[in-house]
Amino acid sequence: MSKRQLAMVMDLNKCIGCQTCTVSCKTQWTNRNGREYMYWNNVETKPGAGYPKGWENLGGGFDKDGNLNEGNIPSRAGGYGVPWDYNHDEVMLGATLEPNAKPDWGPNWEEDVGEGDFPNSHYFYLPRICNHCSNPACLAACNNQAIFKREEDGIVLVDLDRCQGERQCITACPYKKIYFNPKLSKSEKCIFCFPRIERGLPPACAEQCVGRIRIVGFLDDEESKVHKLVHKYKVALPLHPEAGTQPNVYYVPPLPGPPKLDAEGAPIEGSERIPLAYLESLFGPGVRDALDRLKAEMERRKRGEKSELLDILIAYKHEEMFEIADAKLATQPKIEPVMIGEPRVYGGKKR
Amino acid sequence: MIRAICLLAAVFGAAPAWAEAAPHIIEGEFAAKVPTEPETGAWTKATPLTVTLYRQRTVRLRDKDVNHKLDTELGPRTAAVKVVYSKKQLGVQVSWDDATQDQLEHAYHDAFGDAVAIEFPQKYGMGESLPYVGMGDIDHPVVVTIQRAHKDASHNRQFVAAGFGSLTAIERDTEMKMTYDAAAKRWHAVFVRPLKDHNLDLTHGLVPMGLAIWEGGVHERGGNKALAPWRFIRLGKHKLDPDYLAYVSWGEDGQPIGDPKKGETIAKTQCIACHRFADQQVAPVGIAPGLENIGGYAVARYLQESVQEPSKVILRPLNPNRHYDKSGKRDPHGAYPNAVAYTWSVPGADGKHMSKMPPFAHLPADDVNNLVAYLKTIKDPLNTKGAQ
Amino acid sequence: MSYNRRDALRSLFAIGAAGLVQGREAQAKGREPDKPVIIEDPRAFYYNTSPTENMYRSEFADTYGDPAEHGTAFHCVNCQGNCAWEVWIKDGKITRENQSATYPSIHPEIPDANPRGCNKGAQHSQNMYEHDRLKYPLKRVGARGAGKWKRISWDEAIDEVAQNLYETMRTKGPQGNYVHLGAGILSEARGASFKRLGTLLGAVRPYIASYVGDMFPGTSLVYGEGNIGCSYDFMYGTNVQVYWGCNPNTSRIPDAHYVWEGKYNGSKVIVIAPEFNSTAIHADLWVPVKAGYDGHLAMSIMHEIVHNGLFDEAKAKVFTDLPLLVREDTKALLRLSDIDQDHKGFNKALFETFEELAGDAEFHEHEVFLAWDQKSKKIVVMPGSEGAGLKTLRLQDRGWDLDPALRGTFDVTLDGGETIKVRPVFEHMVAKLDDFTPAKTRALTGVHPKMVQILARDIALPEVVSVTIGFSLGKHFNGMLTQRAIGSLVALTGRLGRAGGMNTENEWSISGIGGLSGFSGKYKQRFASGMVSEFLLGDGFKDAEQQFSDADIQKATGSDRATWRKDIDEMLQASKNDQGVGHGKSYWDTVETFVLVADSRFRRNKGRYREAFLQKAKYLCVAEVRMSETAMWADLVLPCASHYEVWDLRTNPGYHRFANIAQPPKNLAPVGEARDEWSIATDIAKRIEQLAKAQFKKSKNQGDLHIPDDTHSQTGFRELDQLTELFTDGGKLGTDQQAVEYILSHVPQFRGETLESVNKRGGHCTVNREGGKSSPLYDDRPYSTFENNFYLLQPFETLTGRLTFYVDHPLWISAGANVPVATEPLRPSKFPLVLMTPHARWSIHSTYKTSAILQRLQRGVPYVMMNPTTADKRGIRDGDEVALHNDVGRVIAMAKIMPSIPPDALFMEHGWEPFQHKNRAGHNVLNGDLLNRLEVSDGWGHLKFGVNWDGNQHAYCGNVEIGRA
Repeated sequence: MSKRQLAMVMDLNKCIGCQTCTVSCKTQWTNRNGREYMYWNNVETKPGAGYPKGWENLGGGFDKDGNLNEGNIPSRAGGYGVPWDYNHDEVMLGATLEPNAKPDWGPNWEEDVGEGDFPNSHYFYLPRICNHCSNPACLAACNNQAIFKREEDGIVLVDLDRCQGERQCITACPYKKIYFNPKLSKSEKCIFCFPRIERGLPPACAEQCVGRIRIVGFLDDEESKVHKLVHKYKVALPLHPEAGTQPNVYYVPPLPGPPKLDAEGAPIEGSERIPLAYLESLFGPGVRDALDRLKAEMERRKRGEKSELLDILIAYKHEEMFEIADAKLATQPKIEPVMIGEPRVYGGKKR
Repeated sequence: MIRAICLLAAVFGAAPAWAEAAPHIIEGEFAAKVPTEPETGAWTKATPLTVTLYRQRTVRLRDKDVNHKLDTELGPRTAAVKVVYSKKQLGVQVSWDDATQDQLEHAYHDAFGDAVAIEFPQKYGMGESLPYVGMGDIDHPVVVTIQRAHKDASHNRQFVAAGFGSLTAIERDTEMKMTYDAAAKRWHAVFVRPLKDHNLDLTHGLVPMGLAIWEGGVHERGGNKALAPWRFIRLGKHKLDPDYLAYVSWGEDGQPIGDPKKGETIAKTQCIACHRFADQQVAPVGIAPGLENIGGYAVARYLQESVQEPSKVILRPLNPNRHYDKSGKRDPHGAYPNAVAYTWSVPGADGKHMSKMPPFAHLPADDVNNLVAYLKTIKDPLNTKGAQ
Repeated sequence: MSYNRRDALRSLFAIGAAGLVQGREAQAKGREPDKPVIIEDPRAFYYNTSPTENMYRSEFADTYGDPAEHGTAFHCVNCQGNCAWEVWIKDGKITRENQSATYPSIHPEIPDANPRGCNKGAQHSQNMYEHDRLKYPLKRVGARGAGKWKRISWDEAIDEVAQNLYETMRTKGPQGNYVHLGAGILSEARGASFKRLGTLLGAVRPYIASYVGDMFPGTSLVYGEGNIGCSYDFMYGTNVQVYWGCNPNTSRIPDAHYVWEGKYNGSKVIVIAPEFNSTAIHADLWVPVKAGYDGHLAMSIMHEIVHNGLFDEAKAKVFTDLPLLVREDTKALLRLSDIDQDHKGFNKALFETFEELAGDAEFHEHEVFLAWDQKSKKIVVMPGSEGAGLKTLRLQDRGWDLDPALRGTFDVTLDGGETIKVRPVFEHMVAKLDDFTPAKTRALTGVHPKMVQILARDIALPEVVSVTIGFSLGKHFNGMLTQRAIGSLVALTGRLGRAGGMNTENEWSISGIGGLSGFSGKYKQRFASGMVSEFLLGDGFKDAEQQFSDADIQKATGSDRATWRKDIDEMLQASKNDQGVGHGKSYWDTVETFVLVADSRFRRNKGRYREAFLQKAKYLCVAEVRMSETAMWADLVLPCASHYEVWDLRTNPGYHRFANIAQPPKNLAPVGEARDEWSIATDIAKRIEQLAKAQFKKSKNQGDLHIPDDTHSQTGFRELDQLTELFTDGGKLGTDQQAVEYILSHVPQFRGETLESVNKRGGHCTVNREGGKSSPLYDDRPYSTFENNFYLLQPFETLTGRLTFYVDHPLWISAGANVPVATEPLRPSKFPLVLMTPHARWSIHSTYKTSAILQRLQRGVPYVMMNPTTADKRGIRDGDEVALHNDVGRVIAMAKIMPSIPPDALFMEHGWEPFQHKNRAGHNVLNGDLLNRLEVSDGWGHLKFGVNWDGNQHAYCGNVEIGRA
C-alpha cells in the first residue's frame, strides 16, 4: 500500500454549487484530447440522479465479503449526456445559436432540483472527484494491472502505456469517476492535480474553490486538518462507504436546512428538511454523530467559546487549507516538451 | 509415432488435403514476397485452414450490461487462416465473417472495435510445454500482436505477456492491416512480421500460433474473446522436428485419446472443488481457472500437462486485487490485503511460483487420457445461436 | 466535435513512448527478448510510473507556461464581483486562469478574501477565443440584422464613425449623438474611455444603473444614497444576516463564503425569497414570500416591531425624521418658514443658539424642520437638515438638550397667525402600519404571522444585524417603495455602522478619478435618466397599452389610466431635452446617431423595443468583444479587446476593499485586430477633428468647427479643432495603460501604489483608509456604512439630514406614499403566472451566456423553471419544449421542473440572448413596463435626478401563461 495518503475534505455546508471547481478542472485538464465529455470534477444536486446519470445504480465496488462487484458503463446518451457544441460561427452571420445535438442530460442537468414538495423541498450540492481510494475498485478490476497508486501520496493513476482500453475499471468504480478517452482508447481520471501539487499549487478544484470548502492534506499526518476532521472530530465522512473502496475524499454532511413549514406556513421547530435517512444512505451511519458534533460546536461558538473544529472549517487563511508542502518535489523532473494534444479551445485558433 | 510418420509422408507428398488430414496444421505458402494487402499475390495461392474459436470464459467481464450477451449471443466462430512466408518474413491472414463492422470511435466512449490477435510463444519445440493459449503463463512468455478496427492504425500494438495482467507493450515490428469487405460482410486481417528477431525465432518446421478474435458489437474486449487452441504453422523450407509434431498432434488429429465418459467421472470427483465446468458450479468463482469452453481452446497436450504437472504451466490469477481479505489487517490508509484464496500459485522455497493445484502425477495414464478426453468435450456446440 | 488528426497521431506517439523506450533498452543490451512486466499489487508498488506522470506533467507545463509571463486581470467587468486573476499563457496564447488568491488578510480571526472569482471567470480564457469573438471591424452590407457583413480596415471604420458623429453634430447639434458605454464595462479605467469621448462631444448618455434596472432609489430615499452597506467580510461578525430578494450563493459567488463562515461563527442566516433558492438551502430560516409582496411583508414586520416596542425610541429621535412635525391641514412637513417664529410656542432662543453656532452658515428656512420638544414643551428647530446651518444630529450638546416627541398632537402658530394642528411623522407612519398588520398582509404575502414575529425579533433585537436586499426587488413596478419599506424597517431599528443595517451595494469613495472622464467642468455630458430614456426609445407606452388593462393600472398605481398618463406626460414634458435639464428626469428625443460600447440593449429587448429603437437610430455603431444580439443589428461593428488583452483598473463596488489591475500577459498574441476602447476613442476624436478642420477649410463656416452648445459647454461651443488635445489631455491619455497609470497616480485612496507594486502583489492593491465614505475604512475591520453618522452624529445626505420616513411631495401625499407604504405590483392579471428572471449563476447578464463550457453545465438551451404542479396541470414534462406567452410576446424554452419553485411563478435565469431562443425572442419580450409616477417624480429635497435618484426599468411586469410548444 502507498506509503502516504493525500486526502481531501469537502464541507457541504459551505458548498454553494457554483461549479467553479468544475470549470477550473475543465480548463486545466478536460477541454481537449478526447476528454471533452469528461468531468473529473463535477458538482451534482442531491437528491438526484447525478452525473453520470444514476451513477449510484450502475454497480461496481466490492460486496460485503470484499469481492469485486460487476457494474455498468454509463452510456453516452443516457449517462454522460452528449457534449453538445454550438454553431458560433453561424451566429456571426445572423443565425440563431443552437446545440448540434439535442441536450438531454449533462453534468448539472438537475441543478437545484432535489426532492420534496414546495415549500418543503430540499436539496444540496455534492461535488465529486476521484476518491483516490485505498482499495480502488478500478485498480482491482483492471485485467492488465494498469492502474496504480503512487507510493508517495496514494494518488491513483492509470498507466497510459499499459491501459488497453477495456473499460473494466469503469464498470468497477462505484463512483463512476473513471472515464474512457475515446481518442486515446485509454481510461483517464482525476489525477488529484499531482503536477500542480509538485509545484506547490493545490489541486485546481481545491485552490479555486470560491466557497472555500476543500481542505487538502496527508491523512497520515495527525496534525493535519484532514486528519483532525476525519479521525479526531469524525465530522468528515466518506461517500458510500458500503462500496468498500475506502475513499480518501471525505464530506462534512449538510445540516438539515431551514425548518419546514406547516400547512399554515408557520415554521416547524426542529424539523429536518433534509431527511437524516437520506444523508445516511450517502455517507453511512456516522451522519448523526457528525451533525450532532457540528451543532454542539456551533452552540459553543455562539457562547463565545473556542472551537478548533470550527476554526478549521471556517478557514481563516485560504492558503492554510492546503497542507501539501510535503508533496512538493525537491527537484522538478525534466519534462519533455511534448503534449498529448492541444486544448480544445472552443472556436479558437489552434495553436 | 506411426501416425506421425504417416503425416510426414503426407507432408512431403503431393498436394495432400491438409485440412482434413491435420486440422491443427496450417501449411505455409512460400513466396518471394509476403503481400500486406489481403487476398492478393501469394495469399491467393495459400491453403486456408478453418479454425474454430471459442469464447474464453475463464475471464468474465465485469460489465453487467453485456455479460448476458456474451453468455447468450456468442458461440464459437470460425476463421480461415492462411500463412505465407518468405526468406525474411512471415505473414498470417485471418478472415472471418462478421455481420457488423464495429470500429472504435474517437467520439464514442462506449464503442468497442472488432479485433484480432495472433500470438507466438517465445520458447517452443521439444522439451518446452505449450503455454496457456490465452496469454501465456508465468514460465512461457508469448508475443501478442493485436489489431483493432479503428480509423487510427496506431491502435495496433504488440506486446509480450506471461499470463493474465501481464500484457506489456513492446516495439512494434509487425505490419498490420485490417480490411472489411462490406459486400461479403467479412474481415480480412493481415499480419506480416520478421521471421526472426530478438523476441521470436520462427525459422522452424512447426511453429505454434495462437489466435483470438473479438466481436466489438457485443463489447468483447480483453480476455473476453474467442480463442482458438494452439494451431501449428508448417514452414516447409525449415526443418521439421517429427517428435515435436507428434507431441503437439496428440489428441488434435482426430484420433481418440481416451474415454470421455470415464474422464467425466474423474472430473466430477477430483476437480469440482476448485474448478467450474459444465453443470459443476460448486467451486467459488475465481479460486481456480474456470474450465467452461476449455475443450474448445486448449489442446490436449496442454490439458494433459496441466493435470500431471500443474506447475509447468502456472496461470497468474485474473487480478489478485479483485478480492480483498476483509478479515485481514488493514494498512494505515484503510487498504485491505488481497484474499489469498484467489491466487492460483504460491512462491516456492526457491522463489519460483508453484501452482496451488496439486500434481495429479499419481493418476494412471489411462485416467489422465480419459480426463483429457472429457475436458476436450467441454465446449459450446458448434451450432450455437449466433455462431459466426 | 472536431479534432485534428495530426494531434491524435502526435498524442498516441507520446503515449507509445514508454513501449519504445523499453524496446531501445533491449537493443542496447544486445537484443535480449523483451520481458513481460508482472505487477503483484499496484496499490503497493508500481514498476514504472514516470511515463504516465511525465505526460501529465508536460501537459500541465503546457497550460502553466512560464510564470514570469503571466498576466493579471479582473474580468467580468460587468459583474460587481471584481476578482483578481492570474492569467496563464503559453506561446502567446492564453491557456487558462487561476484566481490570484493573494489578497492580504485584514485580521487573523476573520477569513481572508481568497480566492475571489467564479465559474464564469474561470473560463474566460476559453471564451475569448470562441468563434463568436469579434476580430475585425465589420460593416453591414445587407439589411439590419441580416448577418451580412464586410470586413473593413480600422481606418475605414474610424472614419465612418467619425463622419456620422460629426455630421450629426453639424446638423442636429451635440444632442443628436448618443454615446453610451454600457453595463459591459463597469471598470474605472476602461470605462472612462467613451464616457470621456461622449462628454467631450456633448453627446447624450443614459444613467447606466437606472438603464439596466440595478438602482436602489428607495434606499436613496431613506438614507440619502442608494449604494450603502458593508463589505462582505462584515457578515462574518453578524448575529443575524438577512438576504431579502437576493441569492448570494448564486449571484454573489465570491463573497458567499462569508455568509457560511459567519454561520459557523454564530450568525443566523435568514433568506426571504419566493423560491427555495440556493442560499435558502443552507439558511436557518427561509421565508417564502409571494413575488412582488416584499413591501407588504416589510410593513408587517415594522408593525410588529412598533407594536411590541422592539425599537429604540431614543435612536429614532436622533437619526430619523420620525419626530419631525407634519401639518394636519396639508400633510406637509412643518418648515421653519411656515411658522410664526416669535410665537411663544416656538423655542426661538434655541434657534438663535443654533444660528450663532452655525457661524457663517445660513439657515434656509424652507428646508429647516421642526419637532415638539418634550423638555421645553415648545416647537424646536431640528438641526442637521439640508437648510440648517448647523450640521449635526445632536439632540444634546452644550447649549441645548432636546427630547423631541414621537407621539402627540400639537398646536403651532403659522406665520400668518393661523394656528394649526401638527403631529410627528411617527404617528403618520404608525397609522399607515395599521393597514399592514401581519394578519392583513398574510393573504398577499403568503407569510404566516408567526414568521413575521420571528423576523421582527431577529431584525430588531440582536446586536449586529445586516439586511441585504437584491436588485430583484427593484425590478417590480412597486420596487422602489419596497426598497423604501425595507430601508425604513431597518432604519427604525437604528442599525448603523457596526450594528449592521441596510446593505445594498457598498461603494468606496474614490476621488481624483473624475479627470479621466471629465474636463474640469468646461464641458458637461448630456446625462439622461436611464429608465425614462429607454422607455421612450422603445415606445414603451405602446407595449404597455397592449399589456395592462385599466384594472391592472388602477391596482398598481392607485389611479386610472388617464390620470396616470397625464401625470407622467406632464413630468416628461418638463424634463425633455436641453431645456428640461434640472426639471426632473432628463432625456433627449433628439438622438439619432448611436455609438454603443459593451451595451446589450437588444438582449434586454422589452416588448417591441428593438423595432422602435432601430426606427429612431439613423446610424448605429456597436463596439463589442463578441457578436451580441445588439451587435447583430448594427451598421458598424468594432471589435474590442477583451479582459486579458487590456490594461484596466477597478475598485467599486465595495464588496471588498481591493482594487484590481488588469495587465496583459507578456508576449500575448493579438486576437484578430481587436483594440482597446481608449485607443478607439482616441482615434475617433482625432478623426472628428480632422473632418471638422477640413469642412471648415471648405466652408469657412465657424459653426463647422465650433459647434454651438449653449447648455452644456461653458464656452457655448464644442471646439472640435481642439478635440485631440483635449481628449488626450495634451498627449497624456489615449491608451488603456495610460488610463491605469493616471488613476494610480491621481487617486489618493491608492497613494503610494505603482504598476510595479501592484503587479508584485498579484494584480491588486488595497483601498486605503480614505476609501470609506460614511465610515472610516479601518485596516483590520470589515467596513460598514454610517459610522460617521452614528458616532459623530453627522447628518445624512437627506433633506432633513435624518433617515427619511416622510416625503411631502404633493404627488406622494396624494398617492398615500408620504410615509412608508406597500403597493401592489403591476402585472397583467389575465395571465396566471409571475415570470421572475433573476440574476444567473452561469453568466454575467448576457456575457458568457453562449459559452459552451458553461452551457454544458446547464441545459444547453434557454430553460424555464417551474413547479411540478404547474407543469402537471398543463401536461408539461421535464425537458419539453414549452412556450411562454402573454399579450405582448411569446418565448420558447425548455421546461425544467423543480419543487423549489413556487406554483404561482416561473423562473428563468436572465441574460439569454434572443438569438439563443428558437423564435429569437428573449424573455423580456414578455415584459412590457410602465413608468411609476413616484419614480419619475423629482425635485423634492434629496430626490433630485442624479446617480441616487433615478428609477429602474422594471423586469417583473409580465405575468404569463405557459404550455407545450
